[in-house]
Amino acid sequence: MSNDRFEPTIVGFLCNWCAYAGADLAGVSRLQYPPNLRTIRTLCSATVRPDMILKAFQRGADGVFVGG
Amino acid sequence: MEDTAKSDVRIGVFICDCGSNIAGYLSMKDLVEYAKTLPNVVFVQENLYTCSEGGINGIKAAIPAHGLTRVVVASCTPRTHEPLFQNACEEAGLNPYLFEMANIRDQCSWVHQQVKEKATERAKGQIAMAVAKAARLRELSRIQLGIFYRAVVIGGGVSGMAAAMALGNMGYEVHLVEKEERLGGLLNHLNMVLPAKEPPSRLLDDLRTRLENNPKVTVHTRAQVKKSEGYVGNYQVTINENGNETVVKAGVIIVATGAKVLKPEGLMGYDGEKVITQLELESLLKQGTPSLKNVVMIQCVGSRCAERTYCSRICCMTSVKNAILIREADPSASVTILYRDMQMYGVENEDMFRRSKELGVRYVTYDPERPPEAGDGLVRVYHARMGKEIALPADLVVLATPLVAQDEAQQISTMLKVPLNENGFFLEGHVKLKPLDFATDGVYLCGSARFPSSIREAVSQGLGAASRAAIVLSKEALFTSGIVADINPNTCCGCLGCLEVCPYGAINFFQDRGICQVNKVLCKGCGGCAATCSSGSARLDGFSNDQIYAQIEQALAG
Amino acid sequence: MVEFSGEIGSFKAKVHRKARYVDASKCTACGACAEKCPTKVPNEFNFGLNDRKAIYKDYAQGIPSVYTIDPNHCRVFQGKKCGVCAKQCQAGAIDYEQKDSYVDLEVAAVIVATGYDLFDATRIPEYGYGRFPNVISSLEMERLLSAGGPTAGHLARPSVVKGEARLKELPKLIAKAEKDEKTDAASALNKERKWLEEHVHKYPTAKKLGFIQCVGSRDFRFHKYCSNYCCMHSIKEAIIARDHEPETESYIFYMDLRTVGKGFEEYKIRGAKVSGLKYVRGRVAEVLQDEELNPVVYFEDTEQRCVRSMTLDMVILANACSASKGIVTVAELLGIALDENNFVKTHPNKPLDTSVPGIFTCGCAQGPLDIPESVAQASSAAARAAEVVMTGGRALAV
Repeated sequence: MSNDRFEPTIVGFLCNWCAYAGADLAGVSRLQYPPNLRTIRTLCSATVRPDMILKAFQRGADGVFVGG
Repeated sequence: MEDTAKSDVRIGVFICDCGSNIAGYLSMKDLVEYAKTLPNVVFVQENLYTCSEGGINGIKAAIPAHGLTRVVVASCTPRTHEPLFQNACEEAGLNPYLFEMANIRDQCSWVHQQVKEKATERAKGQIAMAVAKAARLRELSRIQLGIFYRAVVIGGGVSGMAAAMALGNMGYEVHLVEKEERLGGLLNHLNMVLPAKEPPSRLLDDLRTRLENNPKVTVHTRAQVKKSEGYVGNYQVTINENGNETVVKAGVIIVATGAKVLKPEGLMGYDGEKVITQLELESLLKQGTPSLKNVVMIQCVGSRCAERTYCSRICCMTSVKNAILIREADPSASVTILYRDMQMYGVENEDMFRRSKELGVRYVTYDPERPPEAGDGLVRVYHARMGKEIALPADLVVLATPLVAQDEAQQISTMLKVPLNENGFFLEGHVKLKPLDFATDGVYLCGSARFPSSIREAVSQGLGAASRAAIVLSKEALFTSGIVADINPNTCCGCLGCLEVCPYGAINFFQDRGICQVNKVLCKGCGGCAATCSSGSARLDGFSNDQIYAQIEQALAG
Repeated sequence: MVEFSGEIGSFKAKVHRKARYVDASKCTACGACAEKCPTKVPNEFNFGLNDRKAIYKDYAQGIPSVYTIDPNHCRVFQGKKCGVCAKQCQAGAIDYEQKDSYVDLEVAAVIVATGYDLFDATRIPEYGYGRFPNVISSLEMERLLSAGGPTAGHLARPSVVKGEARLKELPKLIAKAEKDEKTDAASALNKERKWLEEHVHKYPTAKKLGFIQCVGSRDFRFHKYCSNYCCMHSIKEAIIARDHEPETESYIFYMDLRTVGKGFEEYKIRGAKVSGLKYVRGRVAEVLQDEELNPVVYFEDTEQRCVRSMTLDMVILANACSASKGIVTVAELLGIALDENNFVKTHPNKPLDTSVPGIFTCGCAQGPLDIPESVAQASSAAARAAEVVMTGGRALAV
């Protein structure tokens, strides 16, 4: 990978019961995706307050993923 | 933000190779060295398999040896392995909620197999996030609650009777509450049931006698549930029987309130005499077969339409049954059924359908855009196969109307904090996986209160609801989870925002104090209240705002 | 189960447990063994649409989450040199010496939940199943639509999946034929290769789908009964196909659309309004195939009162729910009665009770059922069994 290529950082909020399980299943199935994601497990996507998303952008996230 | 990490926070990090599953794709040495540099981390260990007996013993030994107050395991997914590691912590005297996992296998090494360096960076990030959260974890506890080993079944139709019978047979005390004078519900009004080919009284009399003889079962007739307070294991149900009120302490409640037949006022010339419902035909047939020359039955009257979108499941089989009974009693009587789709699902119904055709019952489809019209001893309908309108002579027109929700469904729904669907039927916890449970623990549903059901289905669901309820009644005690919401009474402004979003009916509003509080028994820890609360008073323990903020900070620290 | 005796409250059963050659207590289901296993076997779980290894798991979420060695294909069991999985497994879970075992159980009650078999559609030759690659069963469709399936959820035509696999093996076969100087065979293979190269990728994705209802059900030649769940199953598959590929057009050929469950009628209407499903009342008489491997269905459109034909990319059969083949043996062993269709016999007033007290049944073993009804019945059968267990085996009626 060349160094000057833009590498975004994405924060993912994943619901334990679906999206987090889906991310686990991607692993079990060895589906490959870029390592730019940082996942945060929540017990429901409803836990994610709007200001958490804003906080992530404020701290420099290039994208926020909410899966639920 | 205030850094809540204190000096007494001593974190141990255990990093798992998972054989080669993690070690084969990440630089373990880098991870170990990196973990050592993280704030509050006083101990780091790499294991071949942290979940093996050796790995678990390693955690248990390290907690006292290094004075650990928090444990982080970087390995697979908490969805399968968190309980195992939490137990290890608990056995070593550490509160199990002072444990956190970093998923560096399922969500890292397995999905970034070609980019070792970048994958290692991600794993470092996930470990740093877990450590940051761990530093902010608090001790949580599970509360133990007692159970009233008693059930209340609301509704004494065949489904409620089956539920009461099953629980009584299992040895639990049951209170069966029926609003009418006698048990049996809708079945009391039917003439014959097929394919059993017997009057419904046979089944009902048998059930009634055995319920009355069962010392565990108390039957309340002419009775209604007036009030219900409490939660799973601990309900106080006020029953009004003939004007006398009694309070029953019960662990579970089963809703078996059934449904009623729609009276088709203003539809298809309904007059209750020449144009009647299938239920009215049942009473007519019960009195003896009236002499009928030409009977026309019309399906889907008041169902599968804009006002009531659903198919009522049992009307086709009812019409076919009555058509068979009429033809069997008098082969010279002609019966024609006008239908949209004959819903004769399964083995027994299709069998009955075929038998009716053998007996000479005629079937004509109709288009809902051009519905049949009844009047002057004729039913006119557009016959799609012939491409023209036909007129059928009819000395009796029988309308198949749907089962609709009971009038009291709304009151029971509000009282028990369980939802209804758009048609007024009770809404189960999950359409496929939890058909007899509500989302709220301790309350169950069965029979036509859920959706129109045949006898077979109503009995089966009654037994099934009893089985679900027995899961609670067979426990020695109930424990709350540590991961539950809490509302700060000092800052709550009583806006009811949380109460409206809670899917489990776990939030109560206390009018006198003007605040909301969480019922920790019913709370499932979804955190919806915490996200909604505009005053920041609601918090989800184990996933609190400061913990998630700390994770966000670390995710973007690199 | 190989032996059974006793009566309500005190049954004795002997259960034969086959060796899996993997120690379930050590296996972590990491999959390193299957990754390196050199033996490929057609994957029965995906109806042969792809391969699995000789050490395998049907699907990722399977329970228990433990791998199994298929001794009919594993090189070690064929007397060849291998042992790759044992070398790969760092948990030391591989055990080629594991033996079948027998478990003796003493139980108060028994529940028969043996399910059903999919109706074998080759019994209806006019539909072309087994002859035409793009005529498939409802469960094959399920695998094609599954993100964890052989095409990762892409609705590839089976003729393409199979054609591509054939194209891969053809060069070797041609080289071998040429080496053996079998000129006729070689030229036939070359011709096949040329045709496949020209045609395989022409219509890679199935976009025009036909669903044929009542395949083996409501049919006097096979099952007289209605299989209950197939109407909704086809509607669901058609809606999901459209979700995967927005250009998908689906036609459902039916006699009666039986949408009797909670929310089913609404779902059917949504299928037409949102997903563009077209419901055609009429029974399909025959399916043929054109030179591009497209199935062509001939049917009577009863609403238009004419016989029509339609060329489709793929045809999905709504196979009937047949009694499971093994149930006859199980029923004999348990002494329970079956009905004329070989479903476990029950009475409408006692839907979970078999003819033997203390033996109960639920799900498709007792007749075709959809998921909610099966799940509800499973709880009901548990209640009946619990009544026996909790009262020390007294026979109690419903």
